Amino acid sequence: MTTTPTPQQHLETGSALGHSVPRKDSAQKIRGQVKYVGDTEVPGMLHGKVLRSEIPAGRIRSIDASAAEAMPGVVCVLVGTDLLDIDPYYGHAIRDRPIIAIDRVRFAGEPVAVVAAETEEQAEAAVRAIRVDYEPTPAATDLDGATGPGAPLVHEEPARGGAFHGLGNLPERLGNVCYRYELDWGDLDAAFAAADVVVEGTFEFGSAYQYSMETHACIAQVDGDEITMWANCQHPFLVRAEMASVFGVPLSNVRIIVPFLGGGFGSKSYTRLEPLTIAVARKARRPVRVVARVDEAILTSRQHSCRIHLRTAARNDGTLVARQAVCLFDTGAYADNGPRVVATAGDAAPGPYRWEAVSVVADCVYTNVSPAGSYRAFGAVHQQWAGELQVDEIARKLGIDPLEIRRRNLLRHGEDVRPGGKPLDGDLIGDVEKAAAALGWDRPRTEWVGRGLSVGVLAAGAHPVSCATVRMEADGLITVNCGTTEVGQGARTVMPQIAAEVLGLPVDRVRMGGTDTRFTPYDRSTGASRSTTVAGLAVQRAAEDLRRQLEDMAGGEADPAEYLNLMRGHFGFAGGELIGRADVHPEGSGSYAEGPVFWEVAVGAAEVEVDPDTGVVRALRTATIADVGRAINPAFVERQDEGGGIQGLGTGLFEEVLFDGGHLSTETLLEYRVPTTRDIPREMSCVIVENADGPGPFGAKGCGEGALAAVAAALATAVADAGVPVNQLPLTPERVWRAIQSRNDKRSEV
Amino acid sequence: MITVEATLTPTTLAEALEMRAAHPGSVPIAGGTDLMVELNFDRRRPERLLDLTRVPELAELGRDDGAVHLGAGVTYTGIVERLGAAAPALAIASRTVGSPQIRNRGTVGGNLGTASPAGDALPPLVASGASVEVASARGRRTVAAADFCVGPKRNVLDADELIVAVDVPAARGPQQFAKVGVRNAMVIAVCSFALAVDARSRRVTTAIGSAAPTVVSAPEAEAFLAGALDERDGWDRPARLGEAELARFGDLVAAAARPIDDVRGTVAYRRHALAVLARRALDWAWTDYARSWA
Ligand SMILES: Cc1cc2nc3c(=O)[nH]c(=O)nc-3n(C[C@H](O)[C@H](O)[C@H](O)COP(=O)(O)OP(=O)(O)OC[C@H]3O[C@@H](n4cnc5c(N)ncnc54)[C@H](O)[C@@H]3O)c2cc1C
Repeated sequence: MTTTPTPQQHLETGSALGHSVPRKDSAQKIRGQVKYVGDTEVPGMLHGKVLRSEIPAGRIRSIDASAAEAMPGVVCVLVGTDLLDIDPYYGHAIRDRPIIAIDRVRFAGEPVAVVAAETEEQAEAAVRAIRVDYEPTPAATDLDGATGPGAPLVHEEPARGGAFHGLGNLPERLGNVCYRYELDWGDLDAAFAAADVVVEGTFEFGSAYQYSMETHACIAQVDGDEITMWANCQHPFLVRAEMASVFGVPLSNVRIIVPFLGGGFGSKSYTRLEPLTIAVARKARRPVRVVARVDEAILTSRQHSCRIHLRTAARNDGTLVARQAVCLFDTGAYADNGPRVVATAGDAAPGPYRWEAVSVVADCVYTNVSPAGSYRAFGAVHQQWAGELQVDEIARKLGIDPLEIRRRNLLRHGEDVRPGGKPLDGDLIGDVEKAAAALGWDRPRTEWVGRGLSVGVLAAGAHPVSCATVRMEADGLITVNCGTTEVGQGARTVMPQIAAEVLGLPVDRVRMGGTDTRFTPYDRSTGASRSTTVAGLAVQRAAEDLRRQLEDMAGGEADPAEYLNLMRGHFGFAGGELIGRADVHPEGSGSYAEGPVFWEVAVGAAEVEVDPDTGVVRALRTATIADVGRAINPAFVERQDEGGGIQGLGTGLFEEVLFDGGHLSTETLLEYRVPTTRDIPREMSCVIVENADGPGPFGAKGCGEGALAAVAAALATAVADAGVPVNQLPLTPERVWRAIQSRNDKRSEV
Repeated sequence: MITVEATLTPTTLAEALEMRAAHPGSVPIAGGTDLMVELNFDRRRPERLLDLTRVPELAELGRDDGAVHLGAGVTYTGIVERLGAAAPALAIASRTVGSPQIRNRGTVGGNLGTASPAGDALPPLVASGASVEVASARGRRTVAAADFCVGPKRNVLDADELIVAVDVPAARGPQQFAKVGVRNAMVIAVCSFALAVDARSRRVTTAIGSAAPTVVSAPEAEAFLAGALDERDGWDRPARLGEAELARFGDLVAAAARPIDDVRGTVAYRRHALAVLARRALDWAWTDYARSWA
């Protein structure tokens, strides 16, 4: 554990950097004073409720909303035919999704109609009065159904690229495959042929739901060609651009106000309820608020499930030589962020080892279930457990310790992770040694207790574009304006810390508010562990710009104690204001191939106990490495690793979105199982590594996602170490029990 | 839509029973932890709710004649706090229900009302030979807990009846309850098992949860154990049971189950896990008997 400096220390030293400054919003949040979108009311506001498809695939013969329209309080019912005056499709990667179903439904739960009424109850009652006549068509409700010969096509129309896929030209669709990512180097056949040991297996990864406590919510108001929204989106600027294009209005006519978010974890990245809320508000000519229930939120975004066929080759001395991965990702009925998830997974598939040859083919597959998008650590969490299980399998075969085989094969700082991309910018060997030490790797172990390590990297930072201003007013108080969304990660505390450090001011003199796209400078997105690194760099530069202005006024060094006098001298009275501004933009071509902004480290260790009779796995201890370059707020770094680690525990052991014939069968939080306090390991340690090797402010780089992938994978390797390798996540008691059975069967055959 | 005005709020049992008879479209609500989920998902649309939380008779908890009289409205928290000694299996099971919030609201009456084979209170009631007191404006009757549920989500209640209480014979020996779920708390059982040792009548009784359309007992397992104990004078000179006996008992319990495949587990796993639970529950309870009851 790191020692966290006390909150007061920065006041004494005058520096906010590296200190665990308390969250600026915690008092407000604890007192319940924070207004989320669902608490926000706009004058004249109606309530919207969504009618969702009852079948996974089919044509809509007719919709009869007349009874609903006549019900008390109902202002209007939005149906697909109301959207014919615009190009009503969205999707940032592939523009494949209608605002609400038009003629066809592609998943059970797809919005088919939206009612706007004076009260929520009236809207709900009216939703039940709408009659839809469906003609069911064959459905491809899982990967097998979508990829076999004669599989029904989820989309028949040719693909249209969305605005922000950033992945080059999207290929022609092959059946239900909407995107394919390939990565190759070396002579794979030769490397496998020359190897001494080859391991091979098929791995099944279940879909999780991001479960943020606040569900999706949006209020939209349409006045002529002006659209105003209060929305809990992680990427308001991307949503703004997409809505401007869908509704055919200038960018600046779309205004999105983002208050605090009650968590997101990727579920609120890109466009969610916004288009249908705008569409119903446009028809109602009044503001409308739509708030999702939990089951609706699960249907709005979830994690991709996937199947990975993986082969790994090594030499007798433990040198890893080649890896081949063929992966299928279930993206559901619409591509959503699937192509990016699949590309990131493709990058993560080899794992950060020194391979002679690699071949990865990762397909993003349409199916007739709810769409999958981003979830914390996407790509890495999908691949790392499978790859690491095979590294351990080789180690076991060769009688090499799992830590030792990693020491021998892990990439070192400066080596290529993939050809042409950014070389490795962290110290993975140091990191995994620290994780092993934190877990007590060498302590004696007992039967049915297993210990596992896992190492991975994930392409982080997304597209590095952020703008920021830092504004000093006549009373000397500073406001940071930066479009990063406060999603619980502490952005509204960390950004002020960065500005305070540059300006030499106490952090309580600096604050940051929410985003209003009309006034807040542009920030691409809040995700991919990029805020502190990319937006934080923009804030640092903007604060430096402000400091330069003060230095110009001073004709040299500007003493913070003199800032107000300098301003007064400049403006000639106690007024005026100074605004520092800056941006961060890609250096080089900015292409995906050259990326990422940094490689986020995903290193962890876990100790588990397996009940051999029931298959129940209990996580005893975990350790994660937060290799952050520079910890601007160490307590926040630890909380990120704890949160990610607990989600990794859920992904590893319990959490799974299940469908039955295309229908969601885990629609409550009783059936969909996030970890509870009783599931948390008795010890979770987070080791912060500060090598100042990040591209962000003061050498920082992001964290928060790696721990999820690392813990999920370390649980899998730990259960394997206890004697039961299982090729399926989550490791439910039944799956672990079955693996024990088949192991026992094999033994008795011998 | 249900409004506050449409909710019936009786303050005595007699009044509750009259209202129940007068409003056949009403649905009783106790803790609401099952019913509100149904209403929120629009799976039921009752005309009115009959709120039972203000009826003092339903909140009674007392002991007479060697039995615990447990009002239908007593919460799991109440059971955990007060019945650890008199009804240990029920108390252990109550401790595993949901979360503290659910245990503060949820009631045994509601568990019986829902009649899910996964209801955690039901196996302890069946294993310990409890009976359910049912009343209507027409009169009262008593139904054995084992006969109360007649299928998944179906029980013997007539349209005008309410559950008043359960009478649980006070424990006369060690009892156990065990369940397997996918996480450690807030989990519906994949399968569960309850067992009661009666040192006076020299019987061990069983009940299986979540592995048949209703909670069932395992008579063959009970008979096997009775035989095994008789043979070696086990009740008077108890010793830890051997692996073979425990395993046989577990297998017979598993054989009594009629599980199905569903989202929580498959037939094969449920049977296997039941055998494990039964073996462990018997081992714990019998070891306890040997140590402190014989
Ligand atoms: C998050 C969560 C976790 C849960 N975890 C568990 C668990 O671990 N184990 C478990 O067994 N259950 C669990 N449940 C289900 C539920 O809590 C229990 O079944 C509980 O016993 C229901 O009691 P209640 O008083 O809340 O019933 P209510 O919801 O009020 O009623 C349930 C049904 O019984 C009827 N009813 C209630 N009282 C009477 C009466 N006196 N006479 C006639 N009919 C009556 C109602 O009309 C209704 O049909 C969980 C529920 C939730 C929401």
